[in-house]
Amino acid sequence: MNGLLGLKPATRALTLLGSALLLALLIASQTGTLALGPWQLITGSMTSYDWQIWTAVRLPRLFLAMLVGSGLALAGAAMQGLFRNPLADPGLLGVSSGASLAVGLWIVFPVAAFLPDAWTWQGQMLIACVGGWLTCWLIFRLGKNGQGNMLWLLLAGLAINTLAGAFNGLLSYVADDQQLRQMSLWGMGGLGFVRGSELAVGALVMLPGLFLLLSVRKQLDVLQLGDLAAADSGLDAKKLRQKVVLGTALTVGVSVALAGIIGFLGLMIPHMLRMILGPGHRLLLPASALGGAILLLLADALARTLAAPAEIPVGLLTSLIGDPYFLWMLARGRNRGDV
Amino acid sequence: MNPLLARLIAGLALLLPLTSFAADFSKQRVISLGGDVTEIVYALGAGDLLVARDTTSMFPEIANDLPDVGYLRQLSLEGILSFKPDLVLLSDAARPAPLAERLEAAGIKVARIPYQQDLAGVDLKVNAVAKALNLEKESKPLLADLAKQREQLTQLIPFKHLKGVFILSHAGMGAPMVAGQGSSADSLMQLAGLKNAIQGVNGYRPISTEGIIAAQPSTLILTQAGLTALGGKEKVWQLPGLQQTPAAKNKHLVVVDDLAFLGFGPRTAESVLALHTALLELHSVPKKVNTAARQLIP
Repeated sequence: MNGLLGLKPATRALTLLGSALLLALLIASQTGTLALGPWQLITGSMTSYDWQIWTAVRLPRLFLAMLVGSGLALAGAAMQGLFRNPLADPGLLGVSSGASLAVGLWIVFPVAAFLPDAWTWQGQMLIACVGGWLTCWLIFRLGKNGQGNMLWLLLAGLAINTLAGAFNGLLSYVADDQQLRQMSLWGMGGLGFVRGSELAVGALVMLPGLFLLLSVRKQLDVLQLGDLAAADSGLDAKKLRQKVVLGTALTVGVSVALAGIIGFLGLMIPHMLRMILGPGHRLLLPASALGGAILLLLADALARTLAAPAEIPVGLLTSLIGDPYFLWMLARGRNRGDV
Repeated sequence: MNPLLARLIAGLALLLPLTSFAADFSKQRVISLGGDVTEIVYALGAGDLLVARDTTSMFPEIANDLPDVGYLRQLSLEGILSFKPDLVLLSDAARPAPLAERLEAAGIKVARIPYQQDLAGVDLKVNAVAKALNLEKESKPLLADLAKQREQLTQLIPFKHLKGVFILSHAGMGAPMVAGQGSSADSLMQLAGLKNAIQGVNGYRPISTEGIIAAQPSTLILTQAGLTALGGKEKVWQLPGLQQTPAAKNKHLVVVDDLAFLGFGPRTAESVLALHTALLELHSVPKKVNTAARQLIP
């Protein structure tokens, strides 16, 4: 079927999304409390002070938004494919709750007091990542390493997530007023303080995860046929599960470490794109990655401007937009008899 | 008009824009982050140097007219940079932690103000702000006043049989909390000569009905924001457990200013002295009376 520009629909969709991403990048790079962006670059009206801010503050933030947005949405799409359930999201594997617990422990029991000053910030990021990975590994082990059906993984995820949540609640009780505020503010997500070096390390760990998830998209399509049919087609379901879990752990772990908890991207973006592009994972996964990057870029631009010169935590904005959408989707599903 | 005079006036008029240039040159652009820090800046008379503040900087009133770069524990880097400040007075309570480093990397001078929550800490804060703004001479009268107030505090006679409970509450908080041992409100109450009715609890904790009844406080202390958050005096007396306490029976309530009392800034010592006076008035004891009569307070 050759439509616009003689391209196949899949390529057309991806090209459109790619262009939308460039547009979003342009818009996001120009917004903010500071009057600097590509326009100032082109007209040559950037001072050396502006240039310093542009490279040290604005650019890392834009790349972080694209990285985290694409990672979370891609992981979400892969999870929905793996669990064959459109309500699945990366949180099921416990990365977010594990990271929250780790950061809570870091804040309430300041081990950082024994480390040199520079380590407080990076230590927090590292502990969030490690906490997320440990929890994910624990769930995977309890979930029988991906053998059998998904039920074990789901139940293990449920149990561990609840436990982590309970410990987090205990920490909230023990924490003093300031520590409590620290913990809740971290939980709301924010992209504002990442340095280029931290972003580079994060990208180094996350990009293999992204590629791993993208590499299994055809297999996810086969999995949708059902366990028996998929096995007949020669699909190694156990290996697929391992790859998806590993990929999700890498992408979501780094995202949470760098940017805190940002909700609804993993749930919302695959849904929206599925309605437009259909359920095929071959297209849905890369499209979700692009869609996630676009949404987070724009949400972050809003976060920086709605209450300027202050900032709204970006995780709040994505949830504020996501929740009504989810409710609307449920209402529609009720009327149509499907989800 | 005399042509020479006209030319003279025209010449002077042309020089007028230069005066604003000269004024900008000498005037630093300062951002103050921290309610206590901002209070000190205004107390030193340097309020007109400020170009922005944070959300907790609520005193004096005119500080609220300055643009707000965010909550102290969640500051916006770009927001602060957009004001192109020459100096940022940063309380040690500010978060995220790498803010000072990021600002210095952008070439902005950062003065770190210690975050010590006791009366001795106020002096440290005043000294740090004065040093950063080059106002050490102007800080001497302020430090002298603070020393005098601390002196007055040590001379207060503690109430023998009064017990107070401090309730912390603000909008958006779930259950109201009481101040236990080790909390800043606890230390301030002790300075005012009041015993803390809540014993065996560390820091600020949610109230348990039985705990409040067992404590039997004679006075309730709230902050202004707390009173508003709880819905006014009548709603306060309806909090679980309070109805069975002497404080509720006699309706003994003292309301303090949030920032003045808990902020450990220039007004804190004064606020504690005021609390002591309020307690004396509540229990109808005239200030100048012999100590024997004072012992009669239940």
